[in-house]
Amino acid sequence: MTSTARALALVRALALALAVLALLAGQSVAVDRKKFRTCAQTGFCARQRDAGAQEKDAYHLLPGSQAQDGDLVRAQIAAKGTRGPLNLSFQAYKRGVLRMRIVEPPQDGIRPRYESPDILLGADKLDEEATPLRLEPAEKNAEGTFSMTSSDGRLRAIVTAAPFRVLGEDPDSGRPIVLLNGQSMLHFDQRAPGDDGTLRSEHNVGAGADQLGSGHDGAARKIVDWGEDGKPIYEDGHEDTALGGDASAAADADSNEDSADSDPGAPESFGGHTDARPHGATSVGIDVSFPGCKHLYGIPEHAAPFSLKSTRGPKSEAAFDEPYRNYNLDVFEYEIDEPMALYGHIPLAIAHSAAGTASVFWNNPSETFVDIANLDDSGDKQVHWISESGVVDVMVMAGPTPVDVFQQYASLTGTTPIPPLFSLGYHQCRWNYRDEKDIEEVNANFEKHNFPYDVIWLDIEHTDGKRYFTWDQHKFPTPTDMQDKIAHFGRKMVTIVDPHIKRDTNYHVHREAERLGYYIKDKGGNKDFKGWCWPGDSSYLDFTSPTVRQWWADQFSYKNYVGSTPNLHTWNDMNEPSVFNGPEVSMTKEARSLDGWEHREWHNLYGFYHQWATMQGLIERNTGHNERPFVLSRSFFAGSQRHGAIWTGDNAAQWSHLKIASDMLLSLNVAGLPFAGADVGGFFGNPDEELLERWYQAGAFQPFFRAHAHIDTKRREPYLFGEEVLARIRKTVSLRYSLLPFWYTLFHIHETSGLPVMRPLWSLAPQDEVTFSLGDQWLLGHDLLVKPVTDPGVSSLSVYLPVGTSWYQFEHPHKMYTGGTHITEDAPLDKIPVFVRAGAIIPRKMRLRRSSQAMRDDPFTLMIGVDPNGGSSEGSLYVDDEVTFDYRKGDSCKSAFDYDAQAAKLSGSLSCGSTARTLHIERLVFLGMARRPSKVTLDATQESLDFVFDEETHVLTVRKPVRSFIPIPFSVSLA
Amino acid sequence: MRVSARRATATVIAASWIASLVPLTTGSRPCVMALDKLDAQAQGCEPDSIADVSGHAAEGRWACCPDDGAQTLLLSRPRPDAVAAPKCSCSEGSTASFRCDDTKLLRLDQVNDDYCDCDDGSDEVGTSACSHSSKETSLFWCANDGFEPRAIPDSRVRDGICDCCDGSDEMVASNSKNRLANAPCSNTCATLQAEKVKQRTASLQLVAQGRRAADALLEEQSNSRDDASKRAEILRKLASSLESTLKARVKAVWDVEEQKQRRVFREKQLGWARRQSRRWRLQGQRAIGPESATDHEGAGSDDPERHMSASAVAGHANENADEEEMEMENENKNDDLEDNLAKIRNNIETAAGIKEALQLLNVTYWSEKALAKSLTTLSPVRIWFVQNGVYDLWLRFWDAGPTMYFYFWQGSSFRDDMIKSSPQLSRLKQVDDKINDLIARCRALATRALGPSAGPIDTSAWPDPKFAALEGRCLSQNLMGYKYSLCLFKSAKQGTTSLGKFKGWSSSSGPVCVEDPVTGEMPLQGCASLSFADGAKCWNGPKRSVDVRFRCGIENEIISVDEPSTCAYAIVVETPFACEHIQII
Repeated sequence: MTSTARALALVRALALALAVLALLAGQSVAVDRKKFRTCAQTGFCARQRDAGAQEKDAYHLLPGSQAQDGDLVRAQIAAKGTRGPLNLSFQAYKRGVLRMRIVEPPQDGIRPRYESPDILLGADKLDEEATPLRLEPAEKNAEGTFSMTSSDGRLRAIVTAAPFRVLGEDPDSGRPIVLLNGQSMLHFDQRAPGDDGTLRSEHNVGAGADQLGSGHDGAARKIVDWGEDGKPIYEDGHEDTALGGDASAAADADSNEDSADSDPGAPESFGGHTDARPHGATSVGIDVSFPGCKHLYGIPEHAAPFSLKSTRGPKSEAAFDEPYRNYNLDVFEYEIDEPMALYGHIPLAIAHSAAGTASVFWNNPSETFVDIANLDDSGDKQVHWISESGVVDVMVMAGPTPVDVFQQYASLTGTTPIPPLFSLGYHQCRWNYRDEKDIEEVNANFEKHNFPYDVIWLDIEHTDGKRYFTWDQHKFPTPTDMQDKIAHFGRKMVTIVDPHIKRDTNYHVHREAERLGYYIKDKGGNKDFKGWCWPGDSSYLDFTSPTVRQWWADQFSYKNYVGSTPNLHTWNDMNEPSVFNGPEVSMTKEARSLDGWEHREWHNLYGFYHQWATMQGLIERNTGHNERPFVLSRSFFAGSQRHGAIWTGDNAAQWSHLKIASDMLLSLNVAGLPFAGADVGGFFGNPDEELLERWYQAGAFQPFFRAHAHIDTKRREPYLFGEEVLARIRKTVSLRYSLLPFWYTLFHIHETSGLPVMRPLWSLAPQDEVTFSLGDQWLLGHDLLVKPVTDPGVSSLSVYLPVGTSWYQFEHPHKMYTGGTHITEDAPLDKIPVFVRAGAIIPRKMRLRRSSQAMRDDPFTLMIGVDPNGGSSEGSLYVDDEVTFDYRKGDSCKSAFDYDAQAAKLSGSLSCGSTARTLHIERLVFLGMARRPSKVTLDATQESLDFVFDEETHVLTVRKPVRSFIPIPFSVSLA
Repeated sequence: MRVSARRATATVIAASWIASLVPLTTGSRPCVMALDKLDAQAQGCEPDSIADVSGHAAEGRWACCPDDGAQTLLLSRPRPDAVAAPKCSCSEGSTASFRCDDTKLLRLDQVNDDYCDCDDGSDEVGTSACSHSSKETSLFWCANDGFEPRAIPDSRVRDGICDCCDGSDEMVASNSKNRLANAPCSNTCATLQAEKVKQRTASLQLVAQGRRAADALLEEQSNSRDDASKRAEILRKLASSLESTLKARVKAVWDVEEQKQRRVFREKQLGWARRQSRRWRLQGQRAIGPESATDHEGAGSDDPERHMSASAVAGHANENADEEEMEMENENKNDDLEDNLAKIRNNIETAAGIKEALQLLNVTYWSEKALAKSLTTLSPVRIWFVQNGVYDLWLRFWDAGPTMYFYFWQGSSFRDDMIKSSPQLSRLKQVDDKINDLIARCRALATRALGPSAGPIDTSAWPDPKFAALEGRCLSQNLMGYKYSLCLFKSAKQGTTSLGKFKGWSSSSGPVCVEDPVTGEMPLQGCASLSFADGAKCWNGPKRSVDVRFRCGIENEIISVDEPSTCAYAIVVETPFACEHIQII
């Protein structure tokens, strides 16, 4: 062989090796797409999506049907070829919310459609929000239209008769805000008596045989277990290389298309499972467009960019082929930049433009596809909601500012109660800390390395054979002692409690649930539904039932949950629900709730109800029900924010997953669910040190901050990587802790006003169009701007600072940046690109402690971003006992700070409820102080305060006064 | 950090700091900082004016006010009263100051005043104010009188959790407004000390016991090695005795028999030749083919060997008289050889050390019953002898019966035929094989007695060769619902699943990984453990492997099994050999 030939051969060998590696890498973490339905493989989606704006389906208003009915306005609509009119109603809520409902008139023989009473706030709260909606006199309207205004004057709606359309506008300026059914995509599968049950039952024959657990392939290999990836594990030890039934899925798609024309209510098969659809076609849909808006956000949870990509119209790089899918699923090894469904969903879309912000909430918990289109003529954004069942229940939030929209949505679905402070600290998790000794050792290592953390977690292996509420007697023989030992350091523990219950007559939870009949029923409605999950053969509690929720809550009493203590909190996983051998790894849609509702009608609420019942349990277990619980859930829906935190599920140790986390968390935050995080380090796979460090940096500035790892990964507690890495990660985590007062205040603001904790830049600079597409940087409140490093080998990065704002680098405030441009910021490994807004006052606690509890009595530091233009800086601080619900009875204090740059005076006020408190402020740090003051005086006593001024960085540090605290109210004058 | 007094006076101070904080005034120098008393004196301090401001810290700061020699006290140690640090009372007009991280000078009242002035945290070693600096210079010193003093991160000062046994980390000065809700901690130093003494005594005892146990094991092993060489010696002698005496004697007997057989054979050959010539004659007369002749006569092949063989058989059948005659002869020879055996035995018995073995040999010649009975009275060495196959060996030797010593034989094809043709020779051959086998086994046993055929393990790369005494030992334990078995330096199992084969020590130089008997801590790195690898592959994971570490104890047993990462196990084994590796303080 000549040397050239040899070289060529070498190159070829290398190329082959690389190809093989790439293939392996691709296989190691990649979603199995074939497991999940596309729109085309889903009858109701395919039909509605293709129907488009077909005139034959277009609804029209029944002339003169509109009428004032109390505070509501009612009317009727109909379409050619449908089964009679539908009832239409409009209602208004304060602050500019319009609700439009379209339902079938109640009729004997027609099965009512499911509507959850629990997604929106309770009637008492909603009624408080309601404001009368008044039909306007006819003369105000053109022929064939009618209009109405909310009594608070925030919104006017004009209804066009044929085609039926609803335009929402600003009553003062006449600015159009939102257009409902502008493309006549309103769809309602109306039914006649007999459509249900009897008629459809023919379809059940034969086709209804669900193939649960019967194996996908023809070979009669015996399935002995199901993997977390939803694939069967055979007796002979083999796994499927690809999910069985792939071929049939493709065939099903064809048959669906075929049947679409013939009978929209026919049974459908996918992946070896057949859905008999006994009640036939029940789908609904509507299009909603936002005049003048080119950007849409929300509809979490998708591993996709914050600014939603279009899914219809001309293909471009910024487009998906598929609609966004909202169907809560346990997606094994999900990929990023995908509109595929994930674990939880919130059907809320927010439109934003320089002219204003508006939003639409599609109140429907059944499987939903969401098409995002750019309207041909204007390029305006349109949302097309396509749901499998339920009614049309649309809430329009008119804005006009981002803050308004956040508040409007919060007024409908509520906010997250301020979490117990510990849950805002750092969480250390792993699947799995093996035993009590392991827990003790990990804790000891954190102690040894002076590394703060608040919670250590136990995944499924802590149980006795995945029987939740029990302990593995070998690994965790003394759970209360273990929790007490952890609590000694001011820390907590969390155990996992999943909703699937092992069918084992020796397991008390199962025995009782079975005896009481609390399980979801199979399609017949008589037998318990059975599916495969971690413990093997399992059943699933029906959390839609208040009785079952109460019973579940009771399981958390210290008496029932043997081995639990007040320091133990809860993690709800697998609650999509995950059913390893079910269709798309979830529950068959034909399963029945105890009330007889089909699972399809409320599928997306399973996790919502599960977390709610758990939260209820954790509250009720304590005397007086006075301690705030912490419950983390994987699945969620609109309203889940009221019950705790969620995380973005099983991500991977890849830079791309770190990057997408901020987009995902921003989407959740604008959709009203602030307490969210992504697993730091990535769940699947092993992060290298750099990725791990950068992930900690990002996670420290995201609301829920937890490191977690798959059982097959290498250990990665921060002290395992040597002193340098440890020091950097500890610094990052310390920064998080130093900002806990700020985080806590942000959550207080969220609870009381509905504002997100993590906010898009456009919430601060609504007119700055550059910010509209940013999902890789965010604001905390409106005072800190964060852009984490999400690429390897980076030593600097570009950061955009919004127009009309100025910023100081958080850790090295040597320079002030004026917004409206991209800046290049140094970002060596030990630095996190975080900025403080000029005009902000941020409360901190600087002392490094082992846990948040140990910080409780530490004094505050105020960080004041001085406005170079002489404007004032403002900030607030919320304080309570950090643990109980007493703040609801008024036991809390709020402090407001203001620095008037003109007067060179910082003043602080303190207003407390039932209990007076003293705030200890040990330090004032002014960033961007133009010159050194000659004197700093505490006005009340005319005492001169020590201070240090750094000529280089222009940072003025005012040292505490001689006395060890600053009394409030106070003011400090700089001369 | 050691503060240099010289540099302290050579002020390198940020102007802004001095201006804003320390009105350095005329005439007098500030308090000087010194490394120790001598250093302070060298800087001109009067001995009376020197004060220790560092408390119990080993690395001290000493200060003095050199101008007036007045009492100077800087409290940098964490004491309950540290928050209200007394001022340095230097001469009027001068201000004592505190120096930190080479750039800042503080007033003395800024030291330990719960405000962090110095980036290195050195001004607040008695409070938590500088805890975010996370530097050595900001460690809090627990004096822990009556127990062990130790430095803790100052993040633990007044955090509501008792860290120092003297409670000093949670003590609060009475004038502090920043008081914690919980009461100061109780002093547990005396209790801890008592516990420690108790524990230390116990662990000293354990270590001593363990070492004795290890010594005993080693001695036992060495004894058994001696026994082994003795046994080997006996066996080798037996082998050579058998070779030199039995075989020689028997060979002579064989020669006689062989002569006899040759004679018989010759006669048979002659008889065959006679019959053959007669057959040829008949063939010539009756023209009958050779095959039918063979059928008829039982011979007829052209193969001379077969001719011979066939004729030998024929000879047997036709000449019973010859056989009887031979039997008679053999009887005589038997008598002859009985005598010879006696002689052999006498010879053997005279050999040193053989006597015992032959006693045993007699034992094995007895009935099973007798053997069982005698076993109870036998020495352990003899029991070993019996248990390890020698019993069987000797049994076979004697089973050969009185005829065994008759013959000696060297094979050849001719002789094979002779043996086949003669039941006597056939028996002789069998016996001879047995003797050869006996000799071979004697030699093999001799080798085995000295150790495995592969030779002793090579412990040259071991951190402690004594552990070799555990070789071949298998330990098992039921833990966490599984049965674990560990054959040292060989293999490890969980139930029937292989956890790995022994690969060697993780390091050839010590120390061996041994748990600290006082703290219960196991070193994780920098020590030598046993590595087992290439076990059964985990589903979705690596091949199982085990890391074995040790704990000092009297017994050899598995104490705990852990799985630090998926399918990588950590086993702790208690053994006396670990005791040597404990540093006794």
